[in-house]
Amino acid sequence: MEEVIKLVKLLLVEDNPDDIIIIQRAIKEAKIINKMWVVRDGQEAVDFLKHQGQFQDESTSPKPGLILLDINIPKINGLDVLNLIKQDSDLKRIPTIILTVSRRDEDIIKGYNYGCNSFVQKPLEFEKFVDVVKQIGLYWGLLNVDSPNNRQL
Amino acid sequence: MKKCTKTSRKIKGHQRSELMMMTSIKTKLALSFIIIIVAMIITSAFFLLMQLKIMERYKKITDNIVRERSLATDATEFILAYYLLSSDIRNEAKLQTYNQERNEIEGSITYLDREIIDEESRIAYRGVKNIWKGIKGICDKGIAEVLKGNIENIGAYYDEANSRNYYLVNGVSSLILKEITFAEKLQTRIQREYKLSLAIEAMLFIFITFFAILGSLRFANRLSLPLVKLSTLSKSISEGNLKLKVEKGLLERKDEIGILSNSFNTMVTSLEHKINEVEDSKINLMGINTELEKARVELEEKNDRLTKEITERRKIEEELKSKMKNLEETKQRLELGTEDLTRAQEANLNMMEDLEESKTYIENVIANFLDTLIVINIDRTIRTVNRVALGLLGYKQEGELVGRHIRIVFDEENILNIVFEKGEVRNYELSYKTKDNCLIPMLFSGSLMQDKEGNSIGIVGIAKDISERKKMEETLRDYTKKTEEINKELDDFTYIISHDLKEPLRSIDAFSKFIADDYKDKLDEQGRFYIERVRMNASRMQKLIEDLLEISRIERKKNILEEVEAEELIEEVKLRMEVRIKEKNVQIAIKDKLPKVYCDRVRLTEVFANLISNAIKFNDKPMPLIEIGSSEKEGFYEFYVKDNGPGIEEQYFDKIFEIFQRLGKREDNEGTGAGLTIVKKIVQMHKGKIWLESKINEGTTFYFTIPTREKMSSLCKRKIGEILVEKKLITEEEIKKALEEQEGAGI
Repeated sequence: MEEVIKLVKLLLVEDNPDDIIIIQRAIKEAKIINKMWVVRDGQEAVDFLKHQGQFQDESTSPKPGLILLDINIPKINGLDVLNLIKQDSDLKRIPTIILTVSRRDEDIIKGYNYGCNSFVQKPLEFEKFVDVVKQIGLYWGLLNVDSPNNRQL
Repeated sequence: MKKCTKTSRKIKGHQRSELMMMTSIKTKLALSFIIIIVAMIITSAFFLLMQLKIMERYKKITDNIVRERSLATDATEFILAYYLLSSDIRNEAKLQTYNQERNEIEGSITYLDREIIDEESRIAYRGVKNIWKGIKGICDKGIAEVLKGNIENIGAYYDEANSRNYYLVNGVSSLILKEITFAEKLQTRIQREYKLSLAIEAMLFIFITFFAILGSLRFANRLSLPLVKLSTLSKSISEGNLKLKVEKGLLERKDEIGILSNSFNTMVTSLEHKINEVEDSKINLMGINTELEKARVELEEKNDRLTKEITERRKIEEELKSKMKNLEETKQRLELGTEDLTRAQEANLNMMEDLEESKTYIENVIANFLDTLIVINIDRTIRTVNRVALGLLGYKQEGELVGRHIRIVFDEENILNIVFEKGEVRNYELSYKTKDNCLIPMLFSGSLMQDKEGNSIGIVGIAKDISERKKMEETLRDYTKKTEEINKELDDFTYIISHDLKEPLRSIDAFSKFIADDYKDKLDEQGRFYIERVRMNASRMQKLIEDLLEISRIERKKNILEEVEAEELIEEVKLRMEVRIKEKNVQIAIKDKLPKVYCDRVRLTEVFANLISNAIKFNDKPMPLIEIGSSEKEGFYEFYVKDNGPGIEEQYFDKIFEIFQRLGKREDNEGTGAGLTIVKKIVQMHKGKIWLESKINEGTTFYFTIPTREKMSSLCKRKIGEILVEKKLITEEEIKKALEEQEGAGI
């Protein structure tokens, strides 16, 4: 009953260290203050979301309110991670944005088929990157109200 | 008186015996003539009968041949009936047909048993009979098996019976040949015997005529000479000389002359006696005189008789002549009969020749037909197979296939259902089975064969071996697959380029910006300038990569073509460049109405965007003017984009379309120089051309053509068609047909 307004936690799944720095900086420049966790491959992403392996402690690996997912990542492909998320009844409601350099139709179609909420191409220039991140922040309302289900579980 | 009566009685008795002797001569003569005539008639009749009998035989042989031919067809029908029955043993109607055919054959066999006379024909016939017994046995066994429920051997029994039927038909034809040979023999015999009979009758005729003449001559001699002598004698007697007597030769004759001479002698003797007795008894003289008178009358009578006999003989001669005439007539009739026979035979031969001729003609047509031809009966057995088909399927003789079920050749029977239903089927793909069970892909066309009443009687099927074509198609498919694979590889390669090459560039860009931002104060102006250059080049590198990707994408990715108003595309471009157009105060004028274009919308927009963008970008006039227009020429829409810019030197007219060619100074103009290359690629993809006209300081006009929708279809399709025709995979007609069918489908 009580409306809890809190900052949505972000999870970035990205293997390229440059991109991690660039995205973190873009978020900062876009004036987004949400907390962001970073995992480096598909397996880590799954472990983080399911609280297994090195991410068993829920306090250090909380359930994110938005996932930024790269496709070309080691161990488990980003699209397969997406599929796992959308097949899982606990996780499927977490908005997941594919953030990638790929322009392949095949990837785009697969991404939407698996149920991604948005397919965003990484812009070439940093300034544009900042714009994109700003838009994501606005659109997905990073000051989001958690869905009741999410709160209960 | 007593004595006298005695003598007169004596004389009377003598006269009676003389009369008897005379009758015997007449009878003998008549009898001999009658015998000869009867002999002639019998001979004629005999020959006539013989000829009739031979003719009868000849007719029988013709009947036999007819019967034998029907035997062959009945046997084939019997096999068919057996086949139908064995697959449906409880069917009353089929059983009835089976029994009926069987009885018909048995009837023919019984008939031929009785009627075949010629020994050689009989030998051939016995062979046929034995084969028939064999077929009967097999069919009985087959039916017994089916009745027992063993149906797996139906086919084997049928095949066996059917192959024996083939021998039966062969046997029957050799039998017919034997019969014909025999008939020819008979004909020669008829002719020979006719000649013989003619000769014999002629001889008989001559013989009879000769004897008749000889006989009459001899008769005359024998009759007249003695009479002359007797008259001389009687004359001398009348003169009173009673010493003269009839000579001994005449007296010894046993015929009428002999009797006459004797009686003459007796008369003379008795005259002598009487004259001698005159002296003694003149009373008796009267009596003697009377007797003499009597004898004279008798002689006269005899003379009369002789004349009569001669007349009779003449009559007989005449009769003989008329009979000869009859004989001649009969002979002529016989001759006519033979002629009729010969004529009938000739007509028969002619008919057979005609039949043979038309048969040969049809056989020739079938044999020289260059595609495979199979005629299929209504019961789906093979009726005819031409040489090409036999060769293709690896059979040596038609007999190996004729009569067999079509499934020995076809891999599926459904096509026959379609033909029976629709009446004809064209270019249906199926496979033929060869003798050693290989499958050959065929292009089959079949049509239903109907009799005069419109009942279906079979299917004529022609088929072309399309193995080569199939192989080509497969090769083509392989190529297409390979091309697809290569495309896929290229796609992956493109992905690698876009992902792996662009990513470091993005990092370079971002980090150089971070340096520029974070270390603004620590860097001097030179340093800041260098960092700026790094960022500029990184972004330029990214644009180059983007353009490269775009060019390769035009090649590989064909979008769906659609009808688009050209003006809409230009409006879109104008909207996109709104800012630049306002900034540079550009006037864009559209001349007349632009057509609807059948094109890849996005790409053609790109063409206009590039050309307009170039026109704006390089324009050095204070009031840049851009004019866009079009015209239609020979199935193409020719568009132009005209500007009043600086113009391009003619030496660059071609070079300008090459990739990364930039005419201006690097610093002056942005862009990679790939724009016109992309434009050219897009126009070429639409089967159009692009070129330009330009004058320095006056402006440049770019022209490009896009085909109309109809032209586009024909251009695209002809290209594929030409290749196929060149490789002889299909004919021009087939392309035309295919084009009609595919009208409206995309490219």
